[in-house]
Amino acid sequence: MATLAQIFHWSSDEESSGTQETRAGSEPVRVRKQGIAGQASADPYALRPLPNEEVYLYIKRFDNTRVVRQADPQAGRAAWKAIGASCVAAALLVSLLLPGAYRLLAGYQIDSLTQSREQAARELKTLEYQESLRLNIRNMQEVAKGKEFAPPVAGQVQFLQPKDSVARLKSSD
Amino acid sequence: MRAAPSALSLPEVTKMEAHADLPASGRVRWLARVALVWAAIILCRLVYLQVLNHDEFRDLALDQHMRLEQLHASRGAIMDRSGHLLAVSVPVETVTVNPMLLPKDREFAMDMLAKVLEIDPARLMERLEVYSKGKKGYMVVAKNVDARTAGRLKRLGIDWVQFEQHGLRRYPEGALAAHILGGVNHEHIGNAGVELYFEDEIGGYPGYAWVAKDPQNRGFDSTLETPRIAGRNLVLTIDRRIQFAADEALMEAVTGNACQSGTAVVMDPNSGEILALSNYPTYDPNAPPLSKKDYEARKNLAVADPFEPGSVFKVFTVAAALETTDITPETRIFCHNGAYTTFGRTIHEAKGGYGDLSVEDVLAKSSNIGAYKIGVRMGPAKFHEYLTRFGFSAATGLELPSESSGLVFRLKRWQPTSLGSVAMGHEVLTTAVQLARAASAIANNGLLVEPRLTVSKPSREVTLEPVVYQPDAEDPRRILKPETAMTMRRMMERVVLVGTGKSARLDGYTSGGKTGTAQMFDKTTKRYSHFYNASFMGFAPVTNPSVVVVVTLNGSSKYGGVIAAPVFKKITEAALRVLNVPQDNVHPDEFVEPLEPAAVADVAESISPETGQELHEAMAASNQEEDSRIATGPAAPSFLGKTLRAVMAEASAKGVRVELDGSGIARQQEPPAGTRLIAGQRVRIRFER
Repeated sequence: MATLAQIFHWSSDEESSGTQETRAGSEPVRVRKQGIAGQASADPYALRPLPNEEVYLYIKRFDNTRVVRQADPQAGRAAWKAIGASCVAAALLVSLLLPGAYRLLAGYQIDSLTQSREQAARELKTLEYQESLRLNIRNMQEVAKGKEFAPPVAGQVQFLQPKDSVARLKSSD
Repeated sequence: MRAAPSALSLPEVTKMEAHADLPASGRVRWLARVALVWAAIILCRLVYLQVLNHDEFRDLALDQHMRLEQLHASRGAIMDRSGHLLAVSVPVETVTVNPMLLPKDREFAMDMLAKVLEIDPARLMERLEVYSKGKKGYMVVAKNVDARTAGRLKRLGIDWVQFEQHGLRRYPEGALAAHILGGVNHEHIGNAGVELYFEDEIGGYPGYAWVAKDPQNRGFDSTLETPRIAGRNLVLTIDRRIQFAADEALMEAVTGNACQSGTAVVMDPNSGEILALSNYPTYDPNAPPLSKKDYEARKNLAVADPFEPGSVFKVFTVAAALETTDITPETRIFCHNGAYTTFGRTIHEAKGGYGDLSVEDVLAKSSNIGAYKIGVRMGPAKFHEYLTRFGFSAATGLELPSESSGLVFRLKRWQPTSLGSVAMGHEVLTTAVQLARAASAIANNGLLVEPRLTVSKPSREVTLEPVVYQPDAEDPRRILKPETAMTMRRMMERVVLVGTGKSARLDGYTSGGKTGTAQMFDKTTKRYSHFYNASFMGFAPVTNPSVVVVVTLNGSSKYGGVIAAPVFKKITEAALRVLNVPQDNVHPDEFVEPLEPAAVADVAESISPETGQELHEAMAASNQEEDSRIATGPAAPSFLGKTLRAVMAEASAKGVRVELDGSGIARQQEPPAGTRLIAGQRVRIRFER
């Protein structure tokens, strides 16, 4: 897909080729095909291209397996510098964006926790009500009646153990 | 070098390429121009959006993802002195739908809603049709839905269902202490009892927060606009066990003796704490009132319904005389054998007549003539002064709304016969709480303490927050000499032992008291009827009273000693047992004199119907004045046409509680501007765009 820049470049390329066309006259398409080389040949002192010089009818294969690249001490450094700069830029970008992202996530979490807390508080209230409903004094009264509890009368003596418990213990011995 | 085979010659190829490229470059140029125009349009639109109408569009955007949410403030709970819940707000939700936003398959949607909410789907569909035809955007599907059911619906994530959270006031003990608790109206605002009196403290104030929501309606950011203030819990002085005993005993007495109504007040005479306050007929605050009868049952007779106390008032007559004259309990009073004419009025005893009676016998036998003559010896000025000291005609300040202050005529309005009437408990109006306060002064060695219904510290820390209300506990006022109070206690014990109050003798405890029976004034016929206010006012144990109990049964045909004294006995025995008061009368005398009608006759001689009418008319006028003082809040300001923020700022500045609904500009408000607000009343404002 062509970008605007490419389109513009292309059109300027075309325009320059148009100029070339006026200058070269007879070989318009071929000159445009030359691309950058063609632009370079726009130099009035440059030699005109030979006819069909860009047509290669034979492709020679080169064996580069034995070619040894000459060590470039600057290239490695430059590469590391580029990597470092990229990392720093990335770190800066992340550090700028991270709080916002964190805040957004924390916001979601806070909202979720708030909802949970509210729900828990609501459930606690409901449970408290249900508890107090069960411990209603009228219910307690019914339970007391069922268990045959009775309010103590004046002067009533309550023995911690039944009177005959000691006798029963002795007789069991 | 070898030549590659080619079908076309080079000039032909270049010619073809030239023909193919020329139209393409034209199209590209056009495309570039279109892109430029497109970019220019976008730029213009951006300028329009971001520069020219920035504020408007920012507000629109905020409106889309920022929502003002109400932070529900729960109403505080009310507990008894042991921390048992008497009133609690249970969170519930109202489920609503917008009929205009419903999905196409409405029947399925309504079916699903009905299943979850357990309601009739056909009825729901019917209602929906009506709302849709009317193009209404708001339909309540179900009210008071519990949190669990609402949670089930929420989990479905349906966007056309909305939830409105609110509290439902519940009273787990049912009708217990209903007149103390009062109730809340449909807006969850107290309308009676402590619910109304402490509305500002326990009602709470809702807060508001701007919440940013994503398209899934999940909140991710919020800004607090107004913090919510949760309602504080309130701990009452009442004990639910004593209250239950009082409720039961009173109900039995009223229904068993065919009375119209009854009241019972149990008070700690040392601290002034009300341990129980019961009225019959009563009501269940969980159920809204439906009939006139229901509304009448809600009247707190113990504080709002003054009555002529009758013979129980003789206690204060004698106490004042002991302080201001040379009368002693042994002083003999000639009682004219049952009929005594003075200032053209003949005073009678309730039954038969007496010759010489000692002052303590005047009290024990409840002699009207004896009381009158004691009053005369004292004189109106001193008597009036002591009535004021005992607090009659002054409200007790109990934390309940609509308290009546009773009525004692100013001294200037006293007629020649007034002294005798007041000495017997007529021509004076008092409430049961006022009687309990006055009796407490005798039980508390002459110190008058003001009754109160709230304690200052919570007793169940798990669920309680500190109580905001601190009653202004005034120092007890000395109104009687300690020796006078002790003498009065001994004389009142004699009433129970040998006088008209034998039915008030307790098992295991000594007790003192005074019976009272006063004819009731019939407001229709404007005459005194043959129905009585039968009362008993007493305390126990005698040496160091722990409780003061006042019982009044209205519309009875029997005497106070017959029907009110047994109620006193039941309530007092239960209260003393609950309070763990050691028994001081473990081996009482086996012999108890049988009750005879003459022995318990204590009807105070009624006053003339004209004076009675004057008294009740004066009381009615006083009540009207009292009612007009209830609506003492600020006047509702006009919020119409204002924005939400402006409304909140103004409401906050003027101390007006508001309830906000919708968004945009305030279009409706209820109550309208200028209406005098009742304490705690909220102004509901509807916002629309």
